[in-house]
Amino acid sequence: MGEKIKDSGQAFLEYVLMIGFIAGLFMFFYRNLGNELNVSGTLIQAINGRFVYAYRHALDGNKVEDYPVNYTSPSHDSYVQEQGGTRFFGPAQKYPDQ
Amino acid sequence: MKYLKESGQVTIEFILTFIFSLSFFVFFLYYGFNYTVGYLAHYATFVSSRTFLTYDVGNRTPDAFEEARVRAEEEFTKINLRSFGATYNNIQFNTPGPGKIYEYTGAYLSFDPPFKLGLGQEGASLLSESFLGKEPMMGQCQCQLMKAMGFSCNDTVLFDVTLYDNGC
Repeated sequence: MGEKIKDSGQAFLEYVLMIGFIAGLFMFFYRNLGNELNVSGTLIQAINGRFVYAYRHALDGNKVEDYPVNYTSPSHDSYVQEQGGTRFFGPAQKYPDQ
Repeated sequence: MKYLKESGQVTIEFILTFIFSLSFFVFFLYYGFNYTVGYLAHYATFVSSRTFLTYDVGNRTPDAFEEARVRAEEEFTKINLRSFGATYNNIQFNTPGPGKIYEYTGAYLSFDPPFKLGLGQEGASLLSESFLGKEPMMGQCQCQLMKAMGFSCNDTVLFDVTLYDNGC
């Protein structure tokens, strides 16, 4: 009967290899899924669109806007609502006449 | 009856669950960091815009806007957004002038957040704006008053004036 090989550290080595495999798989999907399968890419694009719009205007929405911005149009969602109202504060009622 | 071997099933389940958990964690980590840097960018733009909109040396020449822009850029660079991973060229300014919309006078910054979540596509550029409208400069007010009183006004001469919010 031959001498038994020492197996201390085997579990640790297996753990390291498995984590490496998982990290590699994760990076593979992270880098390629969006371009090749266009599944996560579409999802991320939708989230990004909402993120970009909300960041600029502090409003919920996903309207795609042209960048760089051309400030020649009076319409600006940060200031003017679609119905023509304003986002600025103002008196709810007219001040009473003295 | 012969059964299929099930050894390794737990390992595969662990791998799949771990990848899902990692993705979930990284997703919120990335967006959280992007939001934090975004708030900081808003603050830096506001500080810069406030300097630009309130800077006044008493004259009303175009040089006053240039001086205000330089001072506003100095204030903006005090908050080093690049050290937080934001990518941008420089802060931009809208100055009042013919054909321009007065409400858009101020500063704006277009930048890329530190983590681009487009999965290989182009990242989301964010736009931070701070438009408050620039107050008329003291030199401008003085000229209006002088012209109203029938005097001429030389725009290129600096005056030591103490006019504040006089309604002009």
